[in-house]
Amino acid sequence: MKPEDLAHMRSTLGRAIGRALLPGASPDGPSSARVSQGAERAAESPEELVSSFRRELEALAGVVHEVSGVEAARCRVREIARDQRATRVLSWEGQHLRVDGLLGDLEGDGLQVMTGPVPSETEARAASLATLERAELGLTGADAGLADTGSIVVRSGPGRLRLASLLPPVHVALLPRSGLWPSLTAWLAEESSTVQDVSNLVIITGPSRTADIEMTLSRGVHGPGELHVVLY
Amino acid sequence: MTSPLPFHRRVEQALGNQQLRGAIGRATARKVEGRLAALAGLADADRLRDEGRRIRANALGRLDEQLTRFVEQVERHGGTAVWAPDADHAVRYLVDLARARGVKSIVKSKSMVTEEIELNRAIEAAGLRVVETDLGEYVIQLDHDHPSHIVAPIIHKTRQDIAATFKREVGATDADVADIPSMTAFARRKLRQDFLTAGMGVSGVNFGIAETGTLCICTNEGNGRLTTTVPRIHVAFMGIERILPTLADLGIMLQLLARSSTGQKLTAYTNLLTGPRRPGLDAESDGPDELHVVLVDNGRSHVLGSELAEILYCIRCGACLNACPVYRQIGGHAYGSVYPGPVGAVFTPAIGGLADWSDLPHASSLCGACREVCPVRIDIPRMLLALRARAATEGHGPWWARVGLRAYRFTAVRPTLFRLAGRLTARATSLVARDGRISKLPGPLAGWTRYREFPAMAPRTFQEQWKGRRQESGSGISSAGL
Repeated sequence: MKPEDLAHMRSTLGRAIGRALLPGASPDGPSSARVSQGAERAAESPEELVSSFRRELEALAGVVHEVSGVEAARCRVREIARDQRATRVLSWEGQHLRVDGLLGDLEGDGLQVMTGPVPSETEARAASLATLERAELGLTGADAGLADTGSIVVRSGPGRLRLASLLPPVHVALLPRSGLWPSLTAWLAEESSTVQDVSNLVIITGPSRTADIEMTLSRGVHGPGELHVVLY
Repeated sequence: MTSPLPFHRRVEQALGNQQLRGAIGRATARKVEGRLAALAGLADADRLRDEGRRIRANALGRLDEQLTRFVEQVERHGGTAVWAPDADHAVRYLVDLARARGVKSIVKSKSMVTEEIELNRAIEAAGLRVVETDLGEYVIQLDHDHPSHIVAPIIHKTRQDIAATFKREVGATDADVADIPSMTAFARRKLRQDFLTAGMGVSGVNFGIAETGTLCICTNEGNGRLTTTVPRIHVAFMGIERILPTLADLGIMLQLLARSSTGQKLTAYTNLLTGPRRPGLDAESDGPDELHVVLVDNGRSHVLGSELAEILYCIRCGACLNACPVYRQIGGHAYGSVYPGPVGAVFTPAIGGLADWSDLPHASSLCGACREVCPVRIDIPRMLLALRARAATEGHGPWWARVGLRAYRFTAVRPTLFRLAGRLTARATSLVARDGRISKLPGPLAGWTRYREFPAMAPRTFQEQWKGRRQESGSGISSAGL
């Protein structure tokens, strides 16, 4: 911002605040609401976290695949790709999926794996987007799962395409059980520095949805209409 | 931001439209139920709302510091922050930027502030193309209509209306509009092409986080993510009041927003953006190369420095619309303003002035339902009364009301005249009444009896009756009660 604009902004607001009537304002400090929320939820056991996560996500028509271990996760993703009759996958790079060899397996199954990056130059960008858009399946990891809302936290970055959880009609996310948190507030309290580390962090709560037409629920309007979380 | 028809005419139109009233009634009733169910799932909804209110009040009390910090953080992460004192500055920045970058086509996600500054009109006037990508806003744009609800812009339309629009405006076939899922899929296909070819994405902002420079944008359809990811340039328009100091504050507000708005625990996509795509050797794989945040004042700092500052606590959930008995009868269009319902009845005249909007503070029964449901407990009735008082002082409203009130004041402070006038009025109304009711009043008073009867006044005035009772019971009744 230009220095003169910043100065103008500050003086305009400073004058206004002097005259403002702001009912309900009180000094900052750790509030009772904040404290109680952290405490009552920390008590949940790992099994309770899993069952709550599953219940919440299934209520939104998301699919939870509970498997044991990395091997089983790898198999399950291949099965999902086969069930979807996918021929192209838009994916994070292998190392960020944290399931070794998965992309190689998918290629072995005859799928084309695309991982970006998307170029900046206008024409190259348009061509790249047109190709990536043809993927039937998006594959990502997830940094965290939030048990009380059935959400997954997905972070962008090098080798971590935002588009993988966005462009294809089906999104598959790999989430280790150790990544489950009781709630968004609990996760933010511990991991808020993550938000600044990358340009985009999205909390995904179920498939893309709209109820704009006659308040009738319809899925997959712009984002994926199906969301699969492989919990391993 | 002005309307061609007077308020009472718009209300008459709305009340005469049975389809509209049915749709609005059903939609708002469902939203009210959804909100109640969602809040019931919270351990301590009331304390959370108190906390939300405190956070908003404190953020605005230090808005100069908070915005300065926000600007620093946006810039530290490679974004550009711009101060727009009014609508004109805001739209001109975008048009100039689009021209400078050779952008021809712009995609847009739903945003109230861009409606307020009439951004689309400016973009089209500059010869550029802009496409609304929220399903509801897309239909509105194709129909050259206006949104009727903050959260659900096309609740006034039936599926048949929308099918007809798709066929007429964008060549949908019968199969494309056979049912609601087909129509949704049709819109996805159409708009996907616009996303992939647009040179710029324009969004609003739900919350700006001062400590990190993060923009939080909540959407359900995913168009908000596409708008801020696919095009090379992202421009976010943010009302200056949308600041939250910390991410912890965001955690509190997010628990309130979706529950109050759509009855969800969280929207499908709660998108946190901190600067544009990070460049360099270890560059991020995708995302916009440029991020511009336009901070829109447009009257807000003026509102902040007044008794109406509390309206800036609003997080645009729309709960007050759904709860309002007036909104539920007339819908959003009758308000004639970008922001309808109780919040709009305060916010619109607060930023737009009472000269054009003196009717809106009267579009309320002051029942208090809006205050009751507000996630941050904004006292809307208090401000509606303040605006009514301001309108009277500043001389807005119809001439006959001003003259009438002046005459009343003249009479009311002169006891003899007041008694005389009371007696005369009582006699006069008993003359025109039939069976104790008056169904037609003359002149400027006709408005009162157009839709309802006026009861005739008692034949004897209160003072006459009181005097009579005192005489009957002697000194037994104390006058202390008066």
